[in-house]
Amino acid sequence: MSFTSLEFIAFMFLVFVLFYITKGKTRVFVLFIANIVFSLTFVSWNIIVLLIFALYSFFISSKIKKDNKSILFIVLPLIIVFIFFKYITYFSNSILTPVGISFYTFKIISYLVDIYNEKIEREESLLVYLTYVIFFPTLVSGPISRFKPFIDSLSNVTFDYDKSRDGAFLCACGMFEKMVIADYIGLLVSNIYANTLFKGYYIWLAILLYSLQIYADFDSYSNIAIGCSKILGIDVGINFKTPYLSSNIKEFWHKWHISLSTWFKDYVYIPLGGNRKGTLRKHINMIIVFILSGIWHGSTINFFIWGLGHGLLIVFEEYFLQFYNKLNIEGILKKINKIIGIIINYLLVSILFVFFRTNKFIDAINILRKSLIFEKFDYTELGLVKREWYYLLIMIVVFIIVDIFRSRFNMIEKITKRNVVFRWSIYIIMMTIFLIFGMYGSQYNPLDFIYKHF
Amino acid sequence: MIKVFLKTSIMLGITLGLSLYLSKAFSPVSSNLKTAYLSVPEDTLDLVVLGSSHTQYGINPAVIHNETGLYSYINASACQPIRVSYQMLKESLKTQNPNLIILDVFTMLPDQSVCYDESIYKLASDEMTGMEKINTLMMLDDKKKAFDYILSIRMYHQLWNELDIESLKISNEDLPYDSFGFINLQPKEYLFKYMEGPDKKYRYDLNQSDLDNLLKIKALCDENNIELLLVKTPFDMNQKNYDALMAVWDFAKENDIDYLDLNQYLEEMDFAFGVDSETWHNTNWGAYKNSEIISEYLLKNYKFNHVDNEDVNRNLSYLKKSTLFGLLLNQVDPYNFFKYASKFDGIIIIKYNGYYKTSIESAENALLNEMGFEYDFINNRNTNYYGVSVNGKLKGYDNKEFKTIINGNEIIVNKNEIIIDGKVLKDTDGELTVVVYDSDFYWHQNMNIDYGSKWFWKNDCDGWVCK
Repeated sequence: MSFTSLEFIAFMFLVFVLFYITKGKTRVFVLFIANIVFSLTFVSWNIIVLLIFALYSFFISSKIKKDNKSILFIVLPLIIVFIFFKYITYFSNSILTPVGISFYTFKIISYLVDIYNEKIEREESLLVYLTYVIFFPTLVSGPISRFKPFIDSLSNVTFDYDKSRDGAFLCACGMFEKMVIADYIGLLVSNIYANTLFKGYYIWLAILLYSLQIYADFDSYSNIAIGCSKILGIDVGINFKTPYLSSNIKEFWHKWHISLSTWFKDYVYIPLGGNRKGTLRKHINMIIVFILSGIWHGSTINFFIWGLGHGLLIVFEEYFLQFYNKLNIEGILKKINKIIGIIINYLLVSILFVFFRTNKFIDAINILRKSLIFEKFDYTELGLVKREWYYLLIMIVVFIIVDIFRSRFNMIEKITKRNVVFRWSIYIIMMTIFLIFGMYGSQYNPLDFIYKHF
Repeated sequence: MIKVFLKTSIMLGITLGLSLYLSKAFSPVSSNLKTAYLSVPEDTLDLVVLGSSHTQYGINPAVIHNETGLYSYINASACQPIRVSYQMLKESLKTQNPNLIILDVFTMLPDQSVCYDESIYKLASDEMTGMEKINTLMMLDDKKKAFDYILSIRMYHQLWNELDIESLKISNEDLPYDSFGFINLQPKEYLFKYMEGPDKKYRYDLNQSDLDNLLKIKALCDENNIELLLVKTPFDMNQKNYDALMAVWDFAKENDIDYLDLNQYLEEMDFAFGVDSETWHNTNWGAYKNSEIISEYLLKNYKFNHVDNEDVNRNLSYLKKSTLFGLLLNQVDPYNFFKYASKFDGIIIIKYNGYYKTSIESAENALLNEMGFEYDFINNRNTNYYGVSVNGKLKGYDNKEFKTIINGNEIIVNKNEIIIDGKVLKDTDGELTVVVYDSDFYWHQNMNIDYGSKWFWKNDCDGWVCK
């Protein structure tokens, strides 16, 4: 069941009603059933893998002792099965990776390791634990929520109109972002990537737009997931904090896919020694983390290169920033440098996303090679008419402006706290824009959320 | 919680209202207008024809009106399944209270499978409104498509790059109904192929759903005191379809439903596949023949509470013009030419150069009289006759040269030529020339007969070989 389908909206409304008219264990049971129903809308054996993972981790968690070897042996089977499913597609297309396996495996690992580290206590109720693992808003593509905040909010849920309203508005914004922005840009990007005749400016347009697409796409998914959780009174954390307004790669990774970055930091980088074992070791750890992050996304060499690229950039950047900070630049020049930093950062991230977007190494190289052969640009070559071209440009500008606002304050609260006329005007304007410019209806084949495939 | 329900309902209401408005604004202009059927003045139709495209091509309301004075409308659509006909019947009764429903049964026959396509529901639904439209669209297997058709902004919103502000205004104009649902198909080939009847009848199991829906149609007609008549227009039937059709008639008899099988009248109508029908669809020529038989059947078997309506008459006159044009275009049979010219309104110009050997017979004489030329051409065969009739009434004639002005157009007829507004008409050099004009002088058709050659076509000759 796609987040952007009418079925999901109806399903969510039903869950919302049932969730709040029940209490205590019945409420948890309602949520559990909703999770199962949602899971069953994907390929049926997905739920089997998911339940095996969840049941295994639930029962094995009672065996966890403060012993290095035990946690390794407990987590290892999960990692092996995860690797099997995740990378078997590299060798055989007949086996499909279960939806959300990358996300719930990491959730489970964090749960087990946190018990081992005595950060949390083992959950006694199987129902509650399954509800955490299978929690439908975050099942497919995260955010990778941690057990403690999840369970704390679940056990203290009371109906809060404002919170549910904010959640619903966040969901609506997510759907808008996906169907009006991400999918529209996605069509254009796919068109350029699929046509081998495009070179130079066209390729650069695709490279730069893909970064926007993947951000709008994944951010929209996260907004819907967070919004749905919020409707049910549950906090699952955040995933993005306007990452493209970062002036360096390190800052970018503090703002991009935050739940995954922090997971890698907590469960890989710090256990590897973090920055406690000298600069060289620190840099090696960083590169390891980014390579793992790359191959977490997929089995091809391109994901490895993408991760490695980010790892190397972040190491290089650290040296560069040490030098730059010594210059003590202040005032207007600092602001100009910040803007230049944002642009360079966006360019670097976009270039690395070429490896992310393409399946084969040679495809990525071809795209980069063609990007250097410039020829006259004419938007009609992209199959666009004048009005569509202007619409694209306006959409990008508005998207950037909204992102700048988002970096300064909480837009959702800013809007929902205003008077009823302002609020409803925004709702109706958004709805009208969505109905006219959105990518929906049977004439249009909706694009999957990109991160569904990870 | 009440607040949530209230606000959700308001939001849904706004969304729906916005979607409906945008659906109207973004739809192509024709689908924005009231359907043609709904544009017919209320409670004026005497009979409504439902069913497949066979009726759209096979029954002509203009001919029915000429023959019976009744108003009819073909509210059919391509491959309309019986269950859709039931919805169309409900739609038809929203604005009309006819005395008779004629239902074509083609989609109960095996050959309906050749035209199965989901678009048939869309096409039918385009002629419907309200719940009938929704019910019809919900018959689509792909419910998402059905949803798109109901809220058409889902289909048409991608046209935003083609629209201007003007097109966002919603038009409330009526769609013209001057075709009365009839589709004029001209013969593409002028071959006369007479179909041989199938051999014998054997058992055929009809689709139960069709039968159930047929009974529902019958029940709805009974409820509204409307008579129901099943018809099958002629088509190139194979044995299997023939057997199925016989099973339909058996079912009709069992359930006291009247039926008229035009395939049984092929000989009487002189119905020839090629000129009168393609494989599936009858031509304008065939439709005339069908409609004549139907008209006769209606007058014999049904009573109607007909009331004349000026608007309907005006619209019918458009259909009559186009029908006559189609009937006369490439018409090879002078008897049919005379007959059709006499049946419809128009301007007829006659140029007859008298000759003692001319063999005008009583049938031709009668047809010429019906066209408005009350004259004894048989006993005055030696005398020239140059005349004009308007809508079946003689405007005047002369045996040397006749001049008149009709609707500002000057007509001159004499021995050698016919001149309209100073222009000599071409191809009018027969011993007997009949020219038919529409009342706007927009088009004309003519036929020349040399009585020297009459012997050949009278004896059904192909060159010098005669029967």
